[in-house]
Amino acid sequence: MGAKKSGVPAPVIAVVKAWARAPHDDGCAVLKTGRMALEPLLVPVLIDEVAEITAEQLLIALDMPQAPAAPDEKPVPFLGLELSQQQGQRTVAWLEEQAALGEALGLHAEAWSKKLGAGFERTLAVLQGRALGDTARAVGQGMAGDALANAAAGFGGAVDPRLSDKAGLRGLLAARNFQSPKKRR
Amino acid sequence: MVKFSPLRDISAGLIGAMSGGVGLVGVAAKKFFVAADDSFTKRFLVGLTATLLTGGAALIPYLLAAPGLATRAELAEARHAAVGARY
Repeated sequence: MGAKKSGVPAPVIAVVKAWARAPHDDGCAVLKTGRMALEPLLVPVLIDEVAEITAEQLLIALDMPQAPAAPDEKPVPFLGLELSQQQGQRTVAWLEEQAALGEALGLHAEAWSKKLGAGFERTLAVLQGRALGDTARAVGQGMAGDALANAAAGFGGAVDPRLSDKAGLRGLLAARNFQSPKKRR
Repeated sequence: MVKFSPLRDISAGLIGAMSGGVGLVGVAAKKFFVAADDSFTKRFLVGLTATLLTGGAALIPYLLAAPGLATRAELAEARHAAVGARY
């Protein structure tokens, strides 16, 4: 989906590749180790790279093939859109990773949210004109807007998504209320 | 390899130990499904079912956690694809 990127320092690429290769549960630990071993001047470059890749990760995940929806499947509202149950699950799993990812990069939740928002913006600019599902593109545009900035406190656990009326969080709440596999049949 | 999860793995161990060690499933199966004059085949099948249920009970926490694992694996695949296309 994405484009080849040039001009990224080799040590940063090495850290990113190690992170991508790591088993899912170890990804953040590998990223943190890599970040700490990196020259301090290269850390901001690493953060920007991880933000763009993480943004693209969600877009790819939303565009992944899905199991056919049951006739009575309820859509999952998120950022004013209607996601399928499977897309909702992927989005929530992605959101749940973000607190640990920000921490691995040495950033507070709020700072990571802003970096991610900027990452979505750059990723969408790079992907302009390329094949991208309507839902993925719309979610990306929402994330590139202020959805993530407003949801920042939720990432840190300071705000209960169920009690907040900030953008994106209502959708996050709804995305957690999945139909059980039994009901989906 | 799946990482150690305290809640899932300890629950599985306890469920397995309780149902297997105490023999609750086997005792209950014998009490409710086996009479003194039952054939060997019936006793064997009841015993086999009880054994499978005993072992299977320990899998319950893993079955409950499985859908989340599949979604996280999809995200890992997406991340891998993004990085692979990038450099």
